Amino acid sequence: MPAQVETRGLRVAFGPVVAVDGLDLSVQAGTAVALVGRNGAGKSTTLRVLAGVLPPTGGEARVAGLDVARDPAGAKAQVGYCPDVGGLIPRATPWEHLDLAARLRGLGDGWAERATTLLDRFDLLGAANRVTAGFSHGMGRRLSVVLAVLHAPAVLLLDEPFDGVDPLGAQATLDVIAEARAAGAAVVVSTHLLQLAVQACDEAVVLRRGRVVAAAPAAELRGEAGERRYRSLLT
Amino acid sequence: MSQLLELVRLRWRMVRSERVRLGLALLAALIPGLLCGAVIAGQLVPRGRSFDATVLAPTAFLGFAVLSLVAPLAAGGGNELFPPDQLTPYPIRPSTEFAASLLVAPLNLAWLSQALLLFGITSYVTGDRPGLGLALVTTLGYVALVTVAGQGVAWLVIGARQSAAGRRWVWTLAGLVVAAGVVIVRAHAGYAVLDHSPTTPVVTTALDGAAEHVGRWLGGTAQLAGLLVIAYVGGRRACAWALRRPGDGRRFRESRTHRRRQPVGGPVRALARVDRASVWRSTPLRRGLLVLTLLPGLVAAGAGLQWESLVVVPALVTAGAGLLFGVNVFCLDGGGATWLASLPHPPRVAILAKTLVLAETITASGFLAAVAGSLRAEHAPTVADVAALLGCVVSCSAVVLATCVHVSLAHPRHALLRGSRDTPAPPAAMAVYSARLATVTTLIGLLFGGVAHVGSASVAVVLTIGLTTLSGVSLARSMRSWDDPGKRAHVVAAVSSG
Repeated sequence: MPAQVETRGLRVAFGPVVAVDGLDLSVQAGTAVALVGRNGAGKSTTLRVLAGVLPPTGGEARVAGLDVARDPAGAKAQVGYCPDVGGLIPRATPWEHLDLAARLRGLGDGWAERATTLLDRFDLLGAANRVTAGFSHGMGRRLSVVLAVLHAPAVLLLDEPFDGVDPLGAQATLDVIAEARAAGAAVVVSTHLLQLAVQACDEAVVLRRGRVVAAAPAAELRGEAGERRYRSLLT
Repeated sequence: MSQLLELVRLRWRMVRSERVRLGLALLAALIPGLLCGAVIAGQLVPRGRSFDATVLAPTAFLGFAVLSLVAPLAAGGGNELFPPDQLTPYPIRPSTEFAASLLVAPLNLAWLSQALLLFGITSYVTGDRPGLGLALVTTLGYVALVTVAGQGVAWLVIGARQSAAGRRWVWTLAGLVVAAGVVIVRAHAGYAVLDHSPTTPVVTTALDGAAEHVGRWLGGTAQLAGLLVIAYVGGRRACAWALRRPGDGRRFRESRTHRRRQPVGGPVRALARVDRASVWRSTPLRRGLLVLTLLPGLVAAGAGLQWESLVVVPALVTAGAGLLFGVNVFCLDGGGATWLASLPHPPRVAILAKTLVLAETITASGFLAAVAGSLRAEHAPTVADVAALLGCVVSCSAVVLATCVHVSLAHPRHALLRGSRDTPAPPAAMAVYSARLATVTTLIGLLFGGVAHVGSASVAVVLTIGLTTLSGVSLARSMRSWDDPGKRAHVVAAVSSG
């Protein structure tokens, strides 16, 4: 089965700073991979490239079989992306975000019902018509996850989806990741919260200075022994 | 003072480009240079109408006082060196906030142009008498006094507006001021009121200085100095009080529930609707639009301008509308820019929606100002008058739009536009943008004013077509640059970070 997410020799440089340096990554349909590593390891940059937000400097990035550089619109249609920080228009309401996403993605009439269900699951229904500038950080994160999964994407890219989120919100995120995988989506989660990553994903890929330094079944990073092993890979 | 110096140093260090640093240094040197230029110009102008100028001087001084109050009021207490969220971890004293607002006050183009006018008038009415220096000291004292007092009063109003009762008082007071203005204009009592302007003693003191009546000049100027000290101390206290107030305004607005609207078809319309909401839900943009569209038009209406002069009013208003958010139009998306960029839509759709909303804002502001100003124009308009006015609004809107889109792509920045003092760019950049926009729109306004004076509608049409075409070419070039994914990524990263 072809990989739903694939990068080959992916390179992203911001002038003299190389953020991603020849990254090879492969994620199959129905599986979830955690990208972990220290700040500046290249996790968010990799996800931005896969989401079609940032053009790669070199190498290749494909989602759902489409090259993100050559067919960005086609690739974006297959992807649901939760950015690492912010990710929300400050003076638009959650419902306006969802409406906009539905229009630009060309979703059918059923989107409103799914949107309402998702908002309810993430405890955001009561705030659906308030501007996001007044949201707490955790509320913003939860809404970003809702926006990423609205169209049941073939590829789900979640950048720090658990950051600042309460346990109920984190559980809701874990649930939608599990559902996406069950529906055949490939999921990539970037996070610093190792135990939640282990819970959500099959495999963990450790990045350092833009390169993959280790890849292991997520279960091997479980518990204290897993934490120790992970820390040893960071330096 | 030490905090203020540190903030200025930090702001200076944050300017990385040597070219921009040189530009800022030139800008700082330009202000005293321009003041000297205004004084020299006042000496060189033929003296035929010095009596008229002396009679009108108190009105000009009063106009500056009004501007010194309105500008910081519209900006929610005066512009700032840094957005407040960047200084949250630091113990910045209210006195520093107040002094920083005063420091950047001259970067307001309206303030600067009016100050130049006062110095020019002082120089003109003084003539070549040896007391010119004394007269200029009085004018300088007056400029300082009303600027400081304006900031202080603005802080008082900002503080009062932090509670529901305070907002009611402020609205009532504003309503009374407007009603008084309407009554005065309707009763044709404007000249009588202006004859009793409280600024007359200031002009008299300046003239005492000009005539070297040193005793009287000293007394009047010392009074100004005393008032300046009182205004500064009072302003600092007002600022501290306003910043201490718990405030419910912004939180109230951000927790307000908005009505769901019917879906609209097409991605451009859907994006434009969100952008429009972003403009109207932003306190500084909403307030700025109201002040910008209503005030110049009302002033023009109150003054009962002739059609040739009226043409310049909407020209300046379009420049002001561009400065509200147009010079950094992508900042409307804030952090949401990254998410928007991940949605599947042709890149041109995003920039088209922004351009559409910006064009609406600029053109509507210009037209409203033109309509308000024309209500009491001195005579019925000719075809050429109307063609010149419409041509000026359309041409200025097109030029401002093209310039704003170009600047937005060249210098994107993160800007919240959340608090009433927020601006789309730092103060020095705003000063440069305002000079650029105001210069070109004033020139266009004067050009169309000349056309109205000559009385040729066809020339107005040809000029409009020419200027609009040139702007269209510039806009098309900007749109093409947006097609570059690297450019888009740069803009998205800049406006969403922070």
